[in-house]
Amino acid sequence: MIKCSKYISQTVIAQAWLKATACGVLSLILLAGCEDEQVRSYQAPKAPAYTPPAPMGPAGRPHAAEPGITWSLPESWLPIPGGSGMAMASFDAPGESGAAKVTVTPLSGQAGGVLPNINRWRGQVGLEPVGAIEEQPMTSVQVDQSPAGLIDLVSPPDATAGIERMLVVLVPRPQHNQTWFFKMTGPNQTVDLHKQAFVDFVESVSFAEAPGE
Amino acid sequence: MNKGMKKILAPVASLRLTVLLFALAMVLILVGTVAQKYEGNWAVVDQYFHSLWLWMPVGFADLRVPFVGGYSLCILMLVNLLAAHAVRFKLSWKRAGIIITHVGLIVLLAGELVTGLFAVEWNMTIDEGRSANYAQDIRVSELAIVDPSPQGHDDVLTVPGSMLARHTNGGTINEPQLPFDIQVLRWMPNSTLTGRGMADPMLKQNTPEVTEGFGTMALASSLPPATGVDGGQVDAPSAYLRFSRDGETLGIWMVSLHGIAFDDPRQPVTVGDKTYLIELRFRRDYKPYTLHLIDFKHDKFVGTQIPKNFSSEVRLVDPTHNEDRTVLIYMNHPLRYRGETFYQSGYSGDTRTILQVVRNPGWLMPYIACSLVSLGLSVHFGVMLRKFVSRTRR
Repeated sequence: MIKCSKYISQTVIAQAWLKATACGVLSLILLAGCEDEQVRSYQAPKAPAYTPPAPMGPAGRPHAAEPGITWSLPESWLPIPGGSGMAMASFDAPGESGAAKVTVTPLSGQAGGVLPNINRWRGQVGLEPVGAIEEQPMTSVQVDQSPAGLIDLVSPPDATAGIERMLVVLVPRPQHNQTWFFKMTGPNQTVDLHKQAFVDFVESVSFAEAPGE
Repeated sequence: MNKGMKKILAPVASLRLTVLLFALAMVLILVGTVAQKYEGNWAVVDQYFHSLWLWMPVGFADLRVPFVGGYSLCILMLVNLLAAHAVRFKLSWKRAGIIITHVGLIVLLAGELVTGLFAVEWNMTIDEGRSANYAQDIRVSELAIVDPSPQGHDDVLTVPGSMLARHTNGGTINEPQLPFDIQVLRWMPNSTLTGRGMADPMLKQNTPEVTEGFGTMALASSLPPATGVDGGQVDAPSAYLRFSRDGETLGIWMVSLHGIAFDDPRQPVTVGDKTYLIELRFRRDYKPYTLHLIDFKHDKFVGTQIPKNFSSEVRLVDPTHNEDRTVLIYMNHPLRYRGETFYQSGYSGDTRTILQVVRNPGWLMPYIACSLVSLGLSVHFGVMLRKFVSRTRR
């Protein structure tokens, strides 16, 4: 090195370093700046069927909110982006025997009435209809400081219905001309596993009042 | 180095400047970290760290002050370090360790610049038994206009979401390659959909009257952008667009990242005798190879729903490189292929895997930098030890 330093001037090295760095940094920034936001045109292989985009993150989020409503989301639930169908929000609750699906759906008015809805859900799990609301067993839950009924429907062993188990909480909000449905459907084992989480989720719901209400 | 040059470089090479730069970096990192409570992670990264300067909030009212961004600090530190070498440091065996350490630091700073400017992170979502040949950037949206008429492939035109955002509130995009003009009636960087039947009357009143597609059934309303504390939530934009051709309106559509709530997020737009499919989606990057998900497994800690381990068994098929093999991707065991790294990133349900696809031309630089710094420190320690021993002997 001592020998080398006789032949290689420090000045040359230092100046070369400075120049190289300046050029390097400038060209990096220029190169990165070249990627302008423009209309792109390309050929893509034909998609056999549409694949949904990635869900909103690898794991459930602790809090979620939609306009007019807030809740605390269980850690293990996975949000399904955009909800599904008429649902405002939907989530996958994972389980060994398959995921259960949780949906939050607001409908206008009385959404067809409580009894017809109960009988519709009973039909979906393969149960006989009931004649009156009182005949349907319910567990009391608190939703936004108001009592509501949790309906737990299990498909009978001989039934051929597509849904094994369903948990529903129906929250009428007549002052807003709305009825909210919180529903979990899926394999019996998975729903059983997430039942407490579902109750906690529903009980964490808070309806935000519009200013002035 | 001549005296004139030294005189010019002396202030740049000052140790005080080094300390000042470190102090500024600490402030930037602190404020940038706190900012993630209010803004999205990537918005903060772009605004604070991948920028030359920024308007930094000072914590009260809406007052903001100009401040140096991450790039400026990085460049200034590089210049400071190089100038110090040029002005003060001398090439000698005794200083070899210091010089190697500093070269390591320079490589580290340069590596961060390369990563910041060129690294990309995408997502690839595959369902069991299905294949994927594209990755998507879940931070960037695009309006895709697809012509499905050609045999064997689709002709795709994409308009970046940022371009739609620039034209919001009535601006028109009339690029020559587009089959129709796009007037952006409204752009919402983050949004939610509500069924028209149950939407707030005020929202209905303030929403453009959609004439075509799923926007006739649902309304999009604006949401604040997702913040860094929202648990990895990403923005899902929506837009109201009026399409026209030769001055004649084709209709008004609502496009949304939430379009997947409907049977098919692609909506037809007919122009003359040709039908295009439009979709607002995350930006796509098509690959010359395909990943087929054979099996996805995820284990949980016993008695809990906390994920313990994920693994994806995929078949990689690349006809251009005669590649056809099965790979197991799991935590800390990514697949590296053609300059890209596929990490097991997440899952949805029991049968859908989410892979993170990372391309970073500077991925080796931190390793080289750390090796150089270790080597430099070891050499310097050796030199000092030798000096100490010889002094003790005397």
